[in-house]
Amino acid sequence: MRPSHHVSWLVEKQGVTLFTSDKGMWGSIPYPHAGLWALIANGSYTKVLATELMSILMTISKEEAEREIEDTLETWIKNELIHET
Amino acid sequence: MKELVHRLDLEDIYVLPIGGRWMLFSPRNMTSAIVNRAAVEAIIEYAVDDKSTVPKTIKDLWHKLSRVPITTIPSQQGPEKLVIIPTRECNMRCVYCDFGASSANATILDPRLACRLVDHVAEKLAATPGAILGIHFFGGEPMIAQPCVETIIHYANMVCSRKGLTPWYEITTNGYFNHNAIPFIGDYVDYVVISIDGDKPFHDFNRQRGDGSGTYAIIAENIKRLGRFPVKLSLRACITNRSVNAMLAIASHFCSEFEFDVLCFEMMAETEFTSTNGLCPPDPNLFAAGILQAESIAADHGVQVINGPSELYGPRTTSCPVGLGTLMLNPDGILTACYLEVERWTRLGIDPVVGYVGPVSGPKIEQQKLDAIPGFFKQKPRCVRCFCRYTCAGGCHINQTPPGCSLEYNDRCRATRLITAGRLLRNLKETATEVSFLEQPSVMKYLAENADDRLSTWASDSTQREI
Repeated sequence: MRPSHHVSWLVEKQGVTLFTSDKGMWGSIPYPHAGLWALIANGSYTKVLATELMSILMTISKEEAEREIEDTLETWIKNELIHET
Repeated sequence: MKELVHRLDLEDIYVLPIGGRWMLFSPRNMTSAIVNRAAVEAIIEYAVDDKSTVPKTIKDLWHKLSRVPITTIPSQQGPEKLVIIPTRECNMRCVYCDFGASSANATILDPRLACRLVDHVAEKLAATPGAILGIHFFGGEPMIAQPCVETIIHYANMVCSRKGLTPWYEITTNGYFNHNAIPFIGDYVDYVVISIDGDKPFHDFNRQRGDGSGTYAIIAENIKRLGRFPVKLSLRACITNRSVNAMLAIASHFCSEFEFDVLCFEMMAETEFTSTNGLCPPDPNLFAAGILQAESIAADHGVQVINGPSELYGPRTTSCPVGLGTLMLNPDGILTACYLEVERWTRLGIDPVVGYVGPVSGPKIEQQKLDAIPGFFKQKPRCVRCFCRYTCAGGCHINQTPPGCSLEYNDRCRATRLITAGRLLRNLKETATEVSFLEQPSVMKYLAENADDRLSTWASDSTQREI
């Protein structure tokens, strides 16, 4: 997973603000999902790392974390914020 | 002359020999002045008898030196910051390592334990609007446990945003990590301390991999990359007998090669391995002169030179986080009052363990033990006579001035005394005196060895008065 080429982002303490080259500011991603974005943005995303991180941030089981990640990634892909590599 | 020793305010005012002149210093309010011998005598006369007819300038100076401090000695209310040690393991084998890297336990901290501790501290801080939740990552080499560090930072960010707190992250690292980690550090960490001991020959002699190969190239590249991020960057150089004469060159090299904010020089500590590698601690006079001279070079590049115990910050009772209520979370979940290994303390008969963090129960902190820690270091007989008593505050409580240590200054004391005095002179804009201080080894040596700096004993010590 990598951010799409037309997406840039600003890291803040409370989350991440995304910008797209065509629309300007797209919106903000607050925590806990900002943690998932950081893994993707920094190129360190793996399913194992993401599951561990989200299960801790959301205080949920690993199975629940996997489902949450799948749903989130699907939304971000649909919005062309990220793409699979 | 009347008896002076009963005057408590004189006890905390110091008089230092600087060549043929004297520097008065009150660490209680960080006031200093350069005067001649007659002025010191007049100050004492007025201090003992405020009806005495001394010039107004003397009276004014006395009142400045003896006024009630504006700042107070730090209290023990709440942790200044959390120190988290994700692992004691290290990916380097520095020839002077004082942390037992080669035999370190490879345990990695379960980030859930750190999250429970963050919850606990955030809950306490939430009552103070705008409070800062500070976390310092230490090691071993914390970046070996990068996922652990990342998880803790994201969790703390999340908790802070919900509770209206401001998070602040620091990391002390050897800089020997994959450059893929740079964006994370640059974006999420506020203050980064990287150890680098000079140019390639100096650094690679000291700071090596397990196979003996050097680490300079990778670390220097990482520093350059990090310099492009909005992170406060500190370079920490450990100075040895080999490099002490090159401190100016090291400062120049760093300033020309890297974008950074702080340059920290530290004296190498002698270990069982250092002498076999041909290393010993630097001469304290040369080390102090190196720092004071490097400050000018660094200032031209907007870089601040620091040396922990010699900072003109006071009055304080400790120059490290120990004794400020700081909690240190170890990889096994134990909470200690110091980042040093527990054994270093227990050897001195002191237990630094102040609690633990359970995966379900969360933190169990023995507050009474934590509160008692400063008491172990309250009385430091060696420091009583030293003008750095309330700025250095004894340096490392375990390595430099442990309970029962000798009364005589050691080389770290000597260096701290010289750097502190040099900085006080600089603040007074006594350029000529500062230059002559640095250029005359006998003057430096005399100050470094001065056995008793107290104004209260100056009058009764004829050997001092005759200088």
